Amino acid sequence: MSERIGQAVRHRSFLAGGLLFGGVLTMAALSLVWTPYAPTAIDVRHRLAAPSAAHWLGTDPFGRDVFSQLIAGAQNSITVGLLAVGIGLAIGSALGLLAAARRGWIEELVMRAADFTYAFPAVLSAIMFAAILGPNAVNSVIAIAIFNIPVFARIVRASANAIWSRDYILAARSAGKGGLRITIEHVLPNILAIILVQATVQFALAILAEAALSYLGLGTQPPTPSWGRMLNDAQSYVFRAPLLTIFPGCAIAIAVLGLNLLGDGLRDLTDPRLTRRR
Amino acid sequence: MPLFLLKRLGTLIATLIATSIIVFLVLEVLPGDPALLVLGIDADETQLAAFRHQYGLDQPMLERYLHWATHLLTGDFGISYAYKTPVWPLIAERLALTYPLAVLAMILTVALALGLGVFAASRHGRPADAVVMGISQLGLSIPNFWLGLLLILLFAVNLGWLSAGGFPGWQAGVGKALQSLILPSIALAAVQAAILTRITRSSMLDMLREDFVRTARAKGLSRNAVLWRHVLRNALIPVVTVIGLQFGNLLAGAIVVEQVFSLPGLGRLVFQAISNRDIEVVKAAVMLLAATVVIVNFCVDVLYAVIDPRLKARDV
Amino acid sequence: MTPLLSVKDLHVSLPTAHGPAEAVRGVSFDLQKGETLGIVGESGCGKSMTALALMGLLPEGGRAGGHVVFQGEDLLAADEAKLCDLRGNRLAMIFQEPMTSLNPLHRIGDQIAEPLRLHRGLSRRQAREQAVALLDRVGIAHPRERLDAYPHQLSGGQRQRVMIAMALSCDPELLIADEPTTALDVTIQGQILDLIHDLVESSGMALILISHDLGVVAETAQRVMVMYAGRIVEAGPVREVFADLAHPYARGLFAAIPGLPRAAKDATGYPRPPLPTIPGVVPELHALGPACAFADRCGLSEPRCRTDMPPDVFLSPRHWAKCWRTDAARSLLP
Repeated sequence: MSERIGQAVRHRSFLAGGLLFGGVLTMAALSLVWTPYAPTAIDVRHRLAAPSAAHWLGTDPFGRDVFSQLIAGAQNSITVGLLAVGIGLAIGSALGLLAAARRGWIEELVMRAADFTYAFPAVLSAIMFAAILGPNAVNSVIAIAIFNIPVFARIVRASANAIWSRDYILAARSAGKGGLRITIEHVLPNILAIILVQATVQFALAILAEAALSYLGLGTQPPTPSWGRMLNDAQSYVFRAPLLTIFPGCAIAIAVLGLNLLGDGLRDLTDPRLTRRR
Repeated sequence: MPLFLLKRLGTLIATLIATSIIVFLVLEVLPGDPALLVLGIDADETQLAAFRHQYGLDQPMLERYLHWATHLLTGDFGISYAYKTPVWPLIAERLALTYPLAVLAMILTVALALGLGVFAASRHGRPADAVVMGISQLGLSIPNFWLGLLLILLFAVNLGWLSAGGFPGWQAGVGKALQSLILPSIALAAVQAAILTRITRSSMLDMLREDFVRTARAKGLSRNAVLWRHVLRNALIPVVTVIGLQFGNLLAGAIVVEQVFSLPGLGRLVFQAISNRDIEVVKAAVMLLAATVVIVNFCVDVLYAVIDPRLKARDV
Repeated sequence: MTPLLSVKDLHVSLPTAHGPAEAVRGVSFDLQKGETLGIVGESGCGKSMTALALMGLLPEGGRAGGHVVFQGEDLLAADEAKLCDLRGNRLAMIFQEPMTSLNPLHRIGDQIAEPLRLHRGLSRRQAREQAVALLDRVGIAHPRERLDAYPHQLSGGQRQRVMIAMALSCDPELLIADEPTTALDVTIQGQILDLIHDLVESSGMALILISHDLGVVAETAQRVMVMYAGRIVEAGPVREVFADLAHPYARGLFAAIPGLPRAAKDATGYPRPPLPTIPGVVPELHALGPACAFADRCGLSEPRCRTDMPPDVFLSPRHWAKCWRTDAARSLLP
């Protein structure tokens, strides 16, 4: 175990990713207990203030503190991302495991359904659901979760199929164990690493999608601070206060970059074939 | 026509039908009563009945679906609840911007990704490779709409070379219209190009290990000639699949980026329709976009047969 | 007479997980115009790496040292442009795997025409005509129709014929054939070998034939070199060497050929199994010491075999073996 940790620390992209995303997580956690100002507190006397000791990253057109909004926005991105990926992971993995365990027409059905969801990118399904549910954070969670289901279904089925073809599964089956029990005892533990790596990458994509949906006004609604929304607000002031468009974008990029690097690192660390090649 | 094309055509039709059913179910059945949704809870029963009758909502569901789906085939996308006019002309006008934008971004993506991917693979393990990989890692992390804002900041605000947005319309001349699509298509293409560059590079590296590469070198071809003449085409097979899938992302991304550059594309129409609860327009737009993605992916599969002669043999 | 090819003290090192390993450690030989040389040995003995070093096509990270003089030019010192000019033109090579050595996406006619257009500057049409003639020459029926076929439409033997046609296209002075029949069906192997043999005789080019199969070499080559762990352990004219195998390893190889008359005990002194094998495996290249690399597997080894490098013992003016125990080895029954 300690060797594993040592390996992880020495892996450059794992370390860099961990530091970047760890920073974002810390900010989000910090915002739960403390922000320099209330993120939603409007102060018209200090509109569009430049960064200063009082307002580290300046203020927005309503005089709200940008830094406070930024760290509170991290909370929102992480919550939406976790929920969406979590739902997609749970449903998608269940379908993938079912397809691998049952094969036959069930597998065919699940995979055909997964194949065809590429016709609905996250933004498109978000548009559909926003049209009927009204635009809000729940809508973006649902849209991103739906987009994630086939991703997990596909990768879980493929890796579970590989496990099912192993000899020890045959032994378990001849011992009279049922499909569900084999799935839980043998298949799932063996593909957890793959699911984890995929979840990290999907988390990054979910943060990007959430930002896009909030930017479009289909996701998180004001006054809840969100990075996408901040960029939307900043856009009208791009000539007067260009910094307002810089900070939230950087926050998104740091979170996504961190998760991507973390995912790359995890993939290397959990795949024995790849570690040797590096 | 080769058998595999016929099979693929069958899947295409089945997929389109499935898509239409999903869109119909989500947008017409899930919300409950569209009349209530559009007119609001204050509407009285006669108003609701009149609305339902006007839009054929009093018919059984299956009949409504068949009516909608068969009219789609004739180019009749229904009547907008909000504008009281046919949906198709509304959408067609916006597509004249959204399609060209997505196609332009696709061209940029492919050109950039193939160039950089091949370059990085040819410099495998050297500094140039690391630089390309680093840039693509960054590209993967940047939201397209933020890149759009940055481009506006740089080219419109600081340099003043291009306008910050807007669209003069195709009647103002193709050159002027295209000019206003340059920054949006760059913003759109950057992320997808970053993904595609990585896939091109790794596919090239896989192919470089193949025996036929050594054969080509033994013929006296230089490293570069082997790369372009022998490796690239083989490496393209996985790349082309991804290109097909990326088109969907580009089309969806176009809707987002249109907002950044205030372009009057499909996106704006759809967002207005959402706030007006104009479900007919949303339904038509979503169906059209999804169908476009499905058809583009069909074309990609056909392209396979052109690239890979083995495919024709496999299914016969 | 100056030889066509003169290899002096060739070394090849390859990168491995344990650092660079010497795959070829001091190989020297001359090859005359029109001569056929066989190189035999187990897989991993360095014979393929020797061939790739001659072509300048070592795998990524591989380095070659020494001298390879081809018609007065040192190939190891030549720049890439010069090598490209030679490869496929005056130096050609065919490989073991005809299934994967052809580009699956190009028509075979185009693949054969490629060196002609590159080195001879032929037009598309001229190169095509030449390709038809070449396909005919390597015994492909209906060559004109086969020109537009893709590799997957051909059998393994036909693909190897296409590989040969490709190698011959520019009338090279030296052809290197690396295990050209190993991947083929037994029935096809003889045909391909005969084809190579006939083509070499009729064109007067020199041939380096690499094989793990002594029988193949015995049929085709005039001279043979046996390689073990990156070194030549025995070399000489085919007749002399096979009549009087002097290195225990070479005797072991010979005994491993099925269908040849065999004595009850093999060259290394072990009783023969039904199909004899040499005990042990080829040692890891990075773990080799300065002495005889075969000592650990050799039934005749003495203490000095493990401490001192054996000399080249000449058994005739052109036949030598690198062994302390040639006398003991030769006294064993074949």
